[in-house]
Amino acid sequence: MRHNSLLQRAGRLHSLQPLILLAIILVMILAQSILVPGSLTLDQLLIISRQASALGIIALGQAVVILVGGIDLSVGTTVMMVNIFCITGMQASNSRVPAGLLLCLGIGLMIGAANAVGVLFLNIAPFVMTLCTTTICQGICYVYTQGAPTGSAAPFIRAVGTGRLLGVPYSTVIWLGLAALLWAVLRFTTLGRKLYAVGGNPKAARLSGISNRKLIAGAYIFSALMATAAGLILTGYHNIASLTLEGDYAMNSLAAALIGGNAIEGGRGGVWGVVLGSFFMMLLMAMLTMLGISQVGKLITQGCIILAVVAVQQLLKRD
Amino acid sequence: MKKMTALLLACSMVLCVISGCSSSPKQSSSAGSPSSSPAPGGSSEPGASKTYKVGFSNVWVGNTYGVQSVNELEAFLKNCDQVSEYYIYNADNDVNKQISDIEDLIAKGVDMLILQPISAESVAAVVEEAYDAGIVVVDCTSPLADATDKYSVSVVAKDYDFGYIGAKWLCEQLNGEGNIICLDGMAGLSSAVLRMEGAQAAFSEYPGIKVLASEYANWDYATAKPVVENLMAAYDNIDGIWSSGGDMTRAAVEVWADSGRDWIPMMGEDCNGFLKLWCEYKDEGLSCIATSLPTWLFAYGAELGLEILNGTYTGEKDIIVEIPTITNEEVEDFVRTDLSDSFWCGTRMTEEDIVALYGNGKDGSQGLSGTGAANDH
Repeated sequence: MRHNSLLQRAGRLHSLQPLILLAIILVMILAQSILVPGSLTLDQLLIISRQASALGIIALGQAVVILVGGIDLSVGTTVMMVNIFCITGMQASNSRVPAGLLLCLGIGLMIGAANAVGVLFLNIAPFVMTLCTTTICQGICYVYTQGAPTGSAAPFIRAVGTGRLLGVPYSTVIWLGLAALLWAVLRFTTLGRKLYAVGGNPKAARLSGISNRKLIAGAYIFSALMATAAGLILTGYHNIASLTLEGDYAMNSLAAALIGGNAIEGGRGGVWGVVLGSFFMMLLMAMLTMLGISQVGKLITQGCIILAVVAVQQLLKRD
Repeated sequence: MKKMTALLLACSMVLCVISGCSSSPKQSSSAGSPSSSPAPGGSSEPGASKTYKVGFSNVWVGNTYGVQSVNELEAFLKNCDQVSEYYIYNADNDVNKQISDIEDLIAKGVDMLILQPISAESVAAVVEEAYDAGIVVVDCTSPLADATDKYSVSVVAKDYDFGYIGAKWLCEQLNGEGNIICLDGMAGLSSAVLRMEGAQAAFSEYPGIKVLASEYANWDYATAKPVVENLMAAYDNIDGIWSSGGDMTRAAVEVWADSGRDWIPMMGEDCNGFLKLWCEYKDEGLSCIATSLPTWLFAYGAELGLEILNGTYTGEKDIIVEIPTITNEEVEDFVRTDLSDSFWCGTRMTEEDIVALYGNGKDGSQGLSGTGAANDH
C-alpha cells in the first residue's frame, strides 16, 4: 500500500510535464497553420508521426535505460547495423525475411548484452561503454560494406515501413503499440515498479531483494531491441542500405526522453512524455523546414526552442 | 671551430651530391620523352614498345561515387598495354597520409603521378618534388594552379556548370514560369556552394522562376526523404525540383510517387538507382535530366598522362571537362536494370569490367583486383 502511494506521489510530480509538452505541441501546430496556411492537414501530421516513429521507438528504449540510471549512446549505430545486415541478409526476397529478422534480432541482442556486460561486470561508466560499442559497430559497418553499402529491402519490410492501416502508417501503429505495452508494464506490473526502484535508489532496491543487475541488463537489451525494431522500420521506409542512417538518434532520443519529463539521474519518468517528446522533435524540424529558415538559423532556432521548452517545464514544475 | 666548419662543409657536399643525383633523372626522362615525340601519327607504335609505372593518390573512397571513380581508373590502367605496373593509394581525407603516399610513389619510381589533392597548398611541395624528378604529374578534380604550376596537366569538371545546366534545363521545361524547390548538398562544402551558385545564375536569367525553398539534405537519400515530405506539406504549388545531385532526387521521386500529385520536372545525377525510378515513372509523365560529374575523370587524366609520356599530347595544360547529361530520350540507353543501384551510368568502362564490378548484385567496392577499392593496392 505504502509503496503504491509513494509511486503515485512520484507520478503526480511528473505527470504535469507531458501535459505541458502536449500544450506546447498544440500551440506549435496552431502556429504552423497560421504561418504556413493550408499546410496543416491530418495527412501531414500522420507523415510527421511516421517520421517520428523510428525516433519514438528508440526513445522508448532509451527511456527505460535512463529509468534505471544508465544511458545508451549505441542506439544510432544499432539502427545502422540492423539496416545494413537486414538488407544483405534478406537479399530483397520475402522468403529470406525470417532468417534476416533472426539475424537482426541477434545483432540487437549482442549489442545490448555487450553494453550490459561492460556496465555491470566490468564496471565501465554507461556513457563510455555504449560509446565504445558505438564506435566498434561503426567500424564493423564500414569494413563490412567497404564504405559503399548497397541493396534494397525485402517487400515485406518495405510494406512495414511504408504501408498504412486505415490511413495510419504501420510504423506509427507499431510505435504507439509498443508505447502502450511499455506503459502497461511500467504502470501495472511488479517488473515496472522494480525498474523505478532500481533507478530511484539502487541500494534500497538491492536491500529489498531486487536483483538490480538483472533489471539493468534487461534495460540495455530492451533498448538495443527497440533500436533494432526502429532499424527495421527505417529500412522499410528508406528502402536502401546507408551509412548515414544512424543520424543523430543517440542524442535526439536522449533529448526526446528528457523533454518528455524523464529524469536523467533515473528513477522518474513515464512513457507518454517520451512519445510526445519524439513527436515534438520531428514536428519542430518539419516546421523549420516549412518556414524556409536557413540552415544556420535552423540550428540556432532548434536549440533555442528546445531550451525554452525545457525551461518552461522546469518553471511550471516548481509551482 | 675548425671541426664545425669541416662538418658543415662535409654536410653541404653531401647535400650537393644528393641534389645532383635527384636532378639527373629529370634530365634523362625529359630527354626521353622528346625521343618518342617525332612520330605523333603512329602513337601506338613507339608507345607499345614502352611501358610505364603509374601511381594514383586518391582522397577518399567513402561513397559509391568515389568507389566507381577508382574502379574506372583501375579498369583503364589494367586494360592499357603501356602500363606495366600501377599503385593506387587512398589518403582517407588525411593530408599527412596523402603527402607520404605521394612520397612513397616517387620512391617506387613511377613515371606518372595522378592525384586528387585534398588541399592544393599542403601537397604543393611534394608535387613539385615529383615534377622536378621528371614524373608526369596529372592533377584531377580540384585545381592545383593556385599553389603551384609544376604539374603536367590538370583535368577538372566544374561544379558550377553542374548546377547551371540542370537549372537551365528546369527553367526551359517550365517555359520560364514556375516555383522551384532546391535540394542542396552539405552546408559549407565548396562543391555544394558552387553547384548552387550555378543554379542561381540560371534562375536569375528567368524572372518568372521563383525559388520557394532551398534545403540542405547532404546528398543523402535518407536525409532528403523527410525534407521533401515536409516541403510538399508546406507548398502545394511546386513546379520543379532542382537537386545538387547525389542520391537526393531518388528520394524526391519516391515521395512524389507516394503523394499522387501530378509529375513535375526534376533534376538529378546519373546514379543507377535514380535512373531506374525515372524510367519507371517516365511514361506517367516524369521528366528529368541527369547531369554528372564524370566518374571517369581519373581515367581520363591517366589517358592524357600517357599521351604526355608518349609525347603525343597537344592539348592544353588546364582542361575543363564539359558536364555530361542524360535526357529523357537517352535515359533508356544509360539505365542498367541488371546492375546494382550504386552504379553510376555515365561510365567509360568496358562491358566486361562493368559486369565484373557491378553484376550479380555486387556494388563495385570489391574492386577489379579483388583487394577492395578502398584499400591501398
